[in-house]
Amino acid sequence: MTRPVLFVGLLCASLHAAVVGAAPTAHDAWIPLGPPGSTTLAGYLTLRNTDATATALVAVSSPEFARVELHRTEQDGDSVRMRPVLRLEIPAQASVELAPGGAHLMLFAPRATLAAGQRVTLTLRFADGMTLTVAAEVRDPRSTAADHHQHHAATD
Amino acid sequence: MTPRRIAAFTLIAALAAGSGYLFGQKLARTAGAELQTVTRLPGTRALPAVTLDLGDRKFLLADLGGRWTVLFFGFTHCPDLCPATLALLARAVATLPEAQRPRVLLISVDPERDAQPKVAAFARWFAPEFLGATSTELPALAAALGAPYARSTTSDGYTMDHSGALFLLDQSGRFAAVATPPLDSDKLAADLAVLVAAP
Repeated sequence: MTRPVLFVGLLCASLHAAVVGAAPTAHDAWIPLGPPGSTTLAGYLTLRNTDATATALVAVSSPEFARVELHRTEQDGDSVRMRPVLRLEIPAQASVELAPGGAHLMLFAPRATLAAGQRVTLTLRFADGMTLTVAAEVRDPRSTAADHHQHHAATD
Repeated sequence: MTPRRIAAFTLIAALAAGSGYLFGQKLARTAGAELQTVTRLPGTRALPAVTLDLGDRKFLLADLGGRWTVLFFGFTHCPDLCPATLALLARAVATLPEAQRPRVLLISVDPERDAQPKVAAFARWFAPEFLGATSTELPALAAALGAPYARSTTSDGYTMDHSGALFLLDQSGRFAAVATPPLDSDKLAADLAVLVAAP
């Protein structure tokens, strides 16, 4: 009795995934405040893809910034380099962390001065065309609270 | 040897090996665990007489002394690694008593965009005592510490590739230790406390 129900359920789930898919969810999105006059800020968050299909983050925009790009800071021998990435792969049923010293958002030309505690809207667009709107919290990176948030994000 | 003697001998040998192993582990802990993220150089090194510009004063890299110094190479247009490292350093240094805090010095690898006052303001934002310097002898300075940097063209200008390491100079101003990323503020704070407390 339960088997046909389960089968139908699985079929629906797979059809749903194949036809509609599920956008990844975003967690702990934050933007560290920079020194006054900073023209570029970084943005961090964790993306969780619960779907059985891999996807990729391909574009980000924000009404608070003129332009947003995806970048990755990577170690190259003794040197560290930062390069733009066109898409950030998010494997099926996996989490990808955008964190200091790794993959991150580059937020160019803030339209107004930001303050700690403020929330900034980010619109994330994925490879399948789906979008996700996220409220990123502006945090003061000098405070220990920011550190705890980072630790939390790393172990979340 | 009788089987019983062999068994007894084996047991004693195993116990001896076990305690020796445990003793070795304890030694390794006391000798090696004192620093968690900072690596001491095999020996300290003198630094060349390279001039650093701190705005109101100029001084020689070789003359940094009196207390520990943490050097970091970065630039003010750096949005990820430099602010993250300076913020982490600010949090780590703040855990030390004021009298023991090392001098923290950001040296710009981007002389074209970073005039000294700009570097100083950038560093100071993270902690009021942080210093920002430029140097007209940057290549010699970076080479002395083994800190590579290079300009890299981007679609709308350029960025700087640079070392993400912290370079630590002891009280005598000699290059003594390094810490390479990924850095952790708690471990760095613990290591700085060990280093500054050493006689």
